[in-house]
Amino acid sequence: MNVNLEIDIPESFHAHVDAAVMRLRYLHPSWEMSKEPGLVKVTNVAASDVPTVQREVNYAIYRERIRSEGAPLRELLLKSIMT
Amino acid sequence: MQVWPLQFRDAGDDILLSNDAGSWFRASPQFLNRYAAGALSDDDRDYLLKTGLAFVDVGDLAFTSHAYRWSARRTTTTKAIDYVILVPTLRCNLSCDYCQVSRAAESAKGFDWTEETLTAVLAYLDGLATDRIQIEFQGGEPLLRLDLLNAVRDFCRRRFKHSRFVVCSNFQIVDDAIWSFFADEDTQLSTSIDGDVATHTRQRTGSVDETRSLLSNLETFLERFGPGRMSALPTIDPLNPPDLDELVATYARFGIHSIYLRPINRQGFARRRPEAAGELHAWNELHARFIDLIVEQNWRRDTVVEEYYFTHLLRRILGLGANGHVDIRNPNPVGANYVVVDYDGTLFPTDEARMMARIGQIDLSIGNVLDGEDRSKVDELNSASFNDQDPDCQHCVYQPFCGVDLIDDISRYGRIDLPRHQTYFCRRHLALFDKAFAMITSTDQKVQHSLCRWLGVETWPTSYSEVRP
Repeated sequence: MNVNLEIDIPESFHAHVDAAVMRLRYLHPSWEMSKEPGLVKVTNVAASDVPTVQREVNYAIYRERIRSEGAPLRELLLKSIMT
Repeated sequence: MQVWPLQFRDAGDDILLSNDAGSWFRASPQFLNRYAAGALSDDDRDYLLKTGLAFVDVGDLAFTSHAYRWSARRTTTTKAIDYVILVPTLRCNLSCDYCQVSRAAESAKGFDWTEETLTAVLAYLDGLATDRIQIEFQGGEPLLRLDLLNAVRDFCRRRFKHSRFVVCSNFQIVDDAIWSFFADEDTQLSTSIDGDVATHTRQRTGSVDETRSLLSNLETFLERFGPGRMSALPTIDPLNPPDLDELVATYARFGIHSIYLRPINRQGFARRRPEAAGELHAWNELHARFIDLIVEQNWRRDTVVEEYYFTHLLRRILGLGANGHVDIRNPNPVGANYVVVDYDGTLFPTDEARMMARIGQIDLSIGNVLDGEDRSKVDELNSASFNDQDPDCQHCVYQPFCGVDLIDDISRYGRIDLPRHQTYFCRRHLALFDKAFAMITSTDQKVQHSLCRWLGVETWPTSYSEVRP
């Protein structure tokens, strides 16, 4: 049985949803994904895959936030080492 | 307080986290949620600061320590070419059906160095900016041209303060001159034993008598020169592997307890038999089974067996200065500290690059012994020789321990920008690192016993198995 999944995204992560969805489309091209404010939708998901899909969506958003917010620190580190 | 960015991956019920400098720890999924949401508790913050995963001020001890660890992991050990693989002949007296290297029939003409090439090779070696050199003779079967090996060795002993020689040979045929050549302490033999007699015969010699002849030659080598002068590698077809117990026993017979399991590398001429579906999965399973086998055996006996590459990965994870293996470095610059000289004097960045040129796939040659290196090509290749900015690797918890292999990517896929998780290199190393971390964080006595012996430590730190709540 397949289901349509709607994953609520807390407000503090909204800025990273676009990048996360783009990355998920690259990692999982077969997933049918769309996004609305505060929501990521994945349609036609096998019921047994629901926990995995939910986790992967959350992880992708986490990773984009960490990458984005960590970029200044990485830049600082490189400048400290190279100068 | 600022936390250095953390990458993460599921590890059973827990989460494994690491930063770019290779510091790592295990935590609960709740910790990950708090970290990603920017809602760390006071306890979390204390922990991260105490363990060097965060800093307060730029330039403070925690900041500097992180910067040092980051740099140390990215430092290749040498700055000049001091390792040269020489191919004095392409001719070989065997024709293994998966032969990785391009080869020619034993009686073929025009596949050996000429006098002019030898002179140019020696001049090239003379021009290297180093006083220590390691020469690896490959082929073909290099012992078919012992005269060329002697000429190179005599020259290097005069030219360099320290020189070491490794002859990669099938060691099927030996005579008095060859025994005499190996009598010198600075010269080692590297050969292949694919496990038991049946497997080696199937994969290499095609004749039980020839396989037995090899094993007899190796026994004589051991009697004459003792253990430690000979190394060997098994090349393994994961879909038709040897008996692993027998493989360990065969190597023990020759005093070899560090075994580098090597999957068949279907490159070069070996592409005639393409990689079968499921081959990599089978390899990953077989490798893990081998590790489990030697862990069990090590528990019961004094002599400890290791899988060489796996131990190397453990050293990389634990920051023990293991940055020199050309199969897994970051950055992994080509033409930086080793180079391959082909039978016609052409320079290649790796042996795989030589194969690709030989079969007409792509010319990655970087010059020749007469004209020197083409640095523009080397620099172009090296512009992508690190994983820090890779769009996949930068999210991977194993990135600080892993590496890149541009030549392998080009060889297999004709490009270097494939999504990492689709590459052989990534899928193989994900499995290896998963296994390594499962063992590092294990509380199993047998596992810890092997880890201690492989890495030369007295006791295994209990902190490795702790999980941050």
